[in-house]
Amino acid sequence: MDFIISKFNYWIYIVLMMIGFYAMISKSNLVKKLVGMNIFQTAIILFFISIGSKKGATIPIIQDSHVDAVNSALYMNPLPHVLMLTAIVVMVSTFGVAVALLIMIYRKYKTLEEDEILQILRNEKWPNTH
Amino acid sequence: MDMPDWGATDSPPNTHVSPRYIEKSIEETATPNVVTSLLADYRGYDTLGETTVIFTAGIVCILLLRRYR
Repeated sequence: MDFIISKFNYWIYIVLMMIGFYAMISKSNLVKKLVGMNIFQTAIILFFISIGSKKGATIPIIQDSHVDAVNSALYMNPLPHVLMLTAIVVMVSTFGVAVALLIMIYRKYKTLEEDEILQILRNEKWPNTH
Repeated sequence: MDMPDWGATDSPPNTHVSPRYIEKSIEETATPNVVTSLLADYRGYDTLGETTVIFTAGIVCILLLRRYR
């Protein structure tokens, strides 16, 4: 029981990651796949942020800048925050490029359902191959 | 089950690298916000690569969405 209560952050991110993974695998709409990928990345970001938390600590902004020795137990771990800031930027970049690709797919095939696109591709008989 | 508990002060990520950053940040960078000094000072090359990533993503979006006539 102890590993459920005191490690609840891991269970939360496992559930979120599995929701995203399910959406990426089983949905046939490409936008829903993209949303699943975002949920997956958010789960990883939550995991890293929760690793950096300390009991009895506050956000990593040094309150009294004239104190010579700063007690590191009073401030949270700043490293996961910085790394996840970078990860959020990468996430937004991948999301933007993916949405641009989806717009291009929609312009060409007039649909975003994966099976309909595959049907159109099969009926085209590949005119550009020879 | 070997992962540290939530908020554990003695977990490996909270004991190895980050205390040095928290303790020396004021002295070395004169910035109260440790996240800022880490992002822009200690890991400046990481941030440079990050801006490269988002610049490339912007270029790709422009190239994809431009209509050819």
